[in-house]
Amino acid sequence: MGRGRWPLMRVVLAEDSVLLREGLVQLLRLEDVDVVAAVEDAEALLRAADEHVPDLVLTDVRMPPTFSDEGLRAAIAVRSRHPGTAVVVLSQYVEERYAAELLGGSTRGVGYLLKDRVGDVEEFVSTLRRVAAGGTAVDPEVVSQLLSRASRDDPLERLTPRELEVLQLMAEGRSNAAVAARLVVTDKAVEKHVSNIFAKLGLPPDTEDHRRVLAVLRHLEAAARPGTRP
Amino acid sequence: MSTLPLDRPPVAAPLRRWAEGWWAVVHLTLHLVVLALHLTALVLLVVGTALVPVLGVGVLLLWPTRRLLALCARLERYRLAAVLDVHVPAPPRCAATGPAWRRLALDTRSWRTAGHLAVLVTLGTVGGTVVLALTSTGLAALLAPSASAGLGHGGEYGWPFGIPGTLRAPALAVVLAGALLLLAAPLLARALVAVEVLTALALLGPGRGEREAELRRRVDVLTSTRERTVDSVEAERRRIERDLHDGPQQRLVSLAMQLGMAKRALERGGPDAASEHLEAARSAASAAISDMRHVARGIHPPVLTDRGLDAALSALAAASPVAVVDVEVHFPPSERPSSTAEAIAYFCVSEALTNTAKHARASRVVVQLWREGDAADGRADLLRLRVSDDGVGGAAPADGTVASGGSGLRGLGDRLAAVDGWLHVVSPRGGPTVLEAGVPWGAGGGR
Repeated sequence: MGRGRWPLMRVVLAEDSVLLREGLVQLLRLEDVDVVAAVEDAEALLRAADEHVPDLVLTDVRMPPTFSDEGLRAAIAVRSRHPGTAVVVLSQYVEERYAAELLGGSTRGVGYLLKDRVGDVEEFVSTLRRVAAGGTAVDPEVVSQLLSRASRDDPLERLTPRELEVLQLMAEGRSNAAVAARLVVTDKAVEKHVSNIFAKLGLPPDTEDHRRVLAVLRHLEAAARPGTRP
Repeated sequence: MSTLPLDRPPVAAPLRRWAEGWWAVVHLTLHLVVLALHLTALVLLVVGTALVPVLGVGVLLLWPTRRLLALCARLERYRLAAVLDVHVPAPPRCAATGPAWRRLALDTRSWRTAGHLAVLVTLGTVGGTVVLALTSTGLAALLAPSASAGLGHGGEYGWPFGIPGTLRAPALAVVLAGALLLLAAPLLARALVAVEVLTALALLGPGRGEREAELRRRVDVLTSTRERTVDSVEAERRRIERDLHDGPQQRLVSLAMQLGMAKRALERGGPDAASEHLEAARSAASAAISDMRHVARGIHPPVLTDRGLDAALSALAAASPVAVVDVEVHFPPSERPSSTAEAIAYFCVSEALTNTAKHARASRVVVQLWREGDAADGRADLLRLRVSDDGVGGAAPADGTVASGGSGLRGLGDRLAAVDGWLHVVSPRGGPTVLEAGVPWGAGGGR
């Protein structure tokens, strides 16, 4: 990926572990991301977000003082205070419930990822850029949790393996072109799969990536909860 | 109550029953010795009670009588244990409060003791006399012919007791009669003592209400320790999760991140640019391994299972930042407590050493373990431990309870309470701190 292809992205980072915070700062700077503040708790994150109004806030979930979900709550607060700021929440674990809370309302500029994803630097940074540009990124782990919980008589059963793959990549917030590149097929083929999926799930077709993600997630979530199936 | 010799299975040969019967004879004979004491107590009780309506004069008499009765009860329990090996548990203290007359009237122990003494005075005295008479007559009859042979007696004997003019019997018959009496005396004594043991258990031990109260207390204790055990298990699991999250998981994420950066550096700048990241990745991997080891040891140290407390505690001592940690285990390696007791003791010492290192500013810690009591003599068989340091103290409230101490100590207190053990910490401001604990040697089974 060539340097300077992207506008300089300004990021506020919150992570309580010094080791990971410094590692992330180093990683992002090497990838030409402007880390304007790196803080260690949710309160400092809110202050830094108010002060810098960055393009993106990248935060851990568990932080002082209670080490529960203050990062998540801070991320939700940032979104409501600064609609122009995208948020990506990193976590040691991913939970559908957290994903649902984070994606509630608008799905523009939201990401929820396992910490492991930082290992693939290129992919990680491009995900951050995608979210900063208004996209949505949901960790494949959340999607597969939802898929695995969907019950047997679900419309998902009618999807072909290839269509399931496309669905998963779609839920992660990828565009048709990105899905096509990942699966090494043509854009046309992906479009066909996508329209099949939407038809089988009974969802209205949508061309905007982030709204697509939301539609798929809502569907999966409902399918995973018996009794509230659409 | 321990074994009742009178209840031993009948497989024991009649000869053994007979031989043991002599203990009953001794016991009944001793009745005659303590008879005066019992009678005194009973008479004082009757007179005192009778005099209560007379301006309450009786109360003055009843007060010392109550002490005398308590003394009698203690003596009887002791006598039953010493002679017959029958252990009657002492009843709990009287729970009644208020003025002296009320405690006097409500203290059922005195009344029940008096009941037992009344049984002893009648049954015991009559029984004691009869058995003693049978025994001595038997002995006399058995020995009389040989004793008098030397005196050139005619070969016929006055019967009984050689009184002239009474029934006369040949020497062989007299010897046989004596043997029969000696055969019968212990068996009769056994039967009489069996009755006495029954009343002693009923009247000298805890009463029905007291036994129920004791059971209720026990249920309360078990209920609360069970709850706290569940809580402490949960707390323990949370601690392990937190240790994993703060340690190995962070290291592994960092490792993945450094490897990712190394890969990017290779793509862009070649090997030199990557080496810094690879070195960081390598050190993150070592740190993750070491963190993992630490977490695993915190769950259960393998050496404790393989080699026992001495080895496991020596390793703990060596790892402690405190300058001098002496570990003294005062029981042979061949004697090992249950694995549960070992684990609890290990974590007590581990927690104590951690606290000492963190807060006490101590230069020396002594860890002592020994075995106290023995199941055989009826006392609790405990694994005892003491951890003492020369630090600044202030680790626990003055009363030694651990309820308000650190969460680590509280968790240990809960674990100990769950196996009927105990934990006591004395740590005055200025020091030193002494932590003591007792763990039932066979706690929870295992091994």
